[in-house]
Amino acid sequence: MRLEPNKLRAHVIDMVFAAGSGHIGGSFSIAEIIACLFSEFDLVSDRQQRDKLILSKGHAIPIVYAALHELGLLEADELTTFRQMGSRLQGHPDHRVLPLLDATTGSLGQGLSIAIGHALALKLHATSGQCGTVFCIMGDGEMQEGQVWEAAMFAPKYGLDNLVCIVDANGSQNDGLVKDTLDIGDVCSKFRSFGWLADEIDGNDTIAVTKALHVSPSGCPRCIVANTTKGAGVSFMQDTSWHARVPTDEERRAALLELGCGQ
Amino acid sequence: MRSTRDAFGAALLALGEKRDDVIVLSADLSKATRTDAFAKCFPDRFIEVGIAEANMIGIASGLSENGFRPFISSFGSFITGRYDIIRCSLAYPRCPVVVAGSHSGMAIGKDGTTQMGLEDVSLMRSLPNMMVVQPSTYAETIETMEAIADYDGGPVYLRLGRQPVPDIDLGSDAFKLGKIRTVKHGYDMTIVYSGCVGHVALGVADTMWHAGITCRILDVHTLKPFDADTLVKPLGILEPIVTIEDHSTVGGLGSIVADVVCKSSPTRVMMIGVNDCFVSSGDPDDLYSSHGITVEKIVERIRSELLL
Repeated sequence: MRLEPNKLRAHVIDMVFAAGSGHIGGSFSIAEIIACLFSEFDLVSDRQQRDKLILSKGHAIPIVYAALHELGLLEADELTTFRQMGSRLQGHPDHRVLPLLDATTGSLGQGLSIAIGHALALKLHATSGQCGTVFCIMGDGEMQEGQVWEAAMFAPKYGLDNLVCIVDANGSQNDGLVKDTLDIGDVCSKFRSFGWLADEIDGNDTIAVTKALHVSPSGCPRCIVANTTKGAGVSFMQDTSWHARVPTDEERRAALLELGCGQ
Repeated sequence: MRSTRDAFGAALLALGEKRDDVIVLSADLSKATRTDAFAKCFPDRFIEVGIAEANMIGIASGLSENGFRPFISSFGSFITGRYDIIRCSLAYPRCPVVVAGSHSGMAIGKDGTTQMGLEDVSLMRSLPNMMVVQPSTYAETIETMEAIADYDGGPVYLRLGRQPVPDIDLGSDAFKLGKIRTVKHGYDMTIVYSGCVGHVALGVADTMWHAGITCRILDVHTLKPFDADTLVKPLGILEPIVTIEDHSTVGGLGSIVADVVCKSSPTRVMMIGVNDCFVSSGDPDDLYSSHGITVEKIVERIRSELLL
């Protein structure tokens, strides 16, 4: 089953609109990555060696809820409860109330360490060479957090080649552009110098994303720097105001039309 | 005389022999926190992360999701200093990880404040889902480790001491996680202590006894959840209360006791500890004397302030 990025985006718009808050920009930039991950990898079965997804940039969780709905694991009704008190669809991922998720995140910088824990465990439990892959999606602004570099330094020590860190390089963070706030520089070469394999791709190109995610393990952890557009998919949602901006009803309709999901 | 960190190391080794899901992480303080014996015996289950406590906490979180029982350790000041990581990656998701913080209190002496765990109880008890334990002797640490080994309701902060402490007689009460241990029965006042100051509490009680005052002595090895019932019942609060801890008087044992008695029957609580200040480098004996955590200084205060 192939998930469609624009359908996921449409659900995000509806969720954020209904809730009156949420993060559209950073959810949209990873729509192709999420669509591909949930289409091509086993992220939700009961197998011990299934693949895992740690959404370190936890504020983008709406796009994951959208993917789970498209897979038939969350009802449409439940999507409308996003961010309400008592909902399983918390504002940032809570894997205790929604066990379909692999980690609880939201305070930036912590997910890569958690992902390492999962990757290490899968390696230690692997009996016949078959080992699940752990995908960790981080934001580029998030790379400013120190803990990320503790994790980056550590991962090659145990040859965690079942760990894939995807950096959603959409160039924008809460208060402005990443390069004006604190330039994170050449992330690929930083990760390579730490002992990772690292490559840059167009993160909003489904074919490029699929190809990059299916690279076979080869002894080291991998970093994919995905160059993306914050708010990709809707022409008027690509300026820096859409990090946490809620659409008006008019904007919502216009966005859904552009996404091919309008009424 | 043996230290509670020594007991931790021994208990961890024993646990590792019984259970292959036990996995130990270190942040370059394995010798000091006594996880080195485990490391030597079970190298495949020992993970050295280097001086990177935040990463250590996160890795433990991930491991605990996959059938492992992680024990992580560092100095109490350093590990609880990564408060947000403990909050979001352990406490909020209730990950069953034991966080051992050693070198509690002023005992490290000459290294000074930056190496001393003085506010760690205050920080950890403020977190929902976090159990906080602090055994007072070698033997009590072994009992504590046996009890928490099977606790999977969430993370545990285990506060340990660097210095050897007397193997004091903790009375006839059996150890029960979550319950206060009555070390001595008395009828004129209550001394409540936690951690490596048990011998000080006994010393105070002994001096007071010679003056005709009998002290009820309570050992709080489980700071959270706190056993208010034992303090308050069955005969009501035996006031006045003196609390003794090698920790700040802000947010530690003294605050816990004051909190509880205030809600049931407001009582005078005299808090002995580090009074909201940082501590100089120095010989531990000098530091304890300077901060009033000695038998003589406590007795002096009881006489002058509590008029006993």
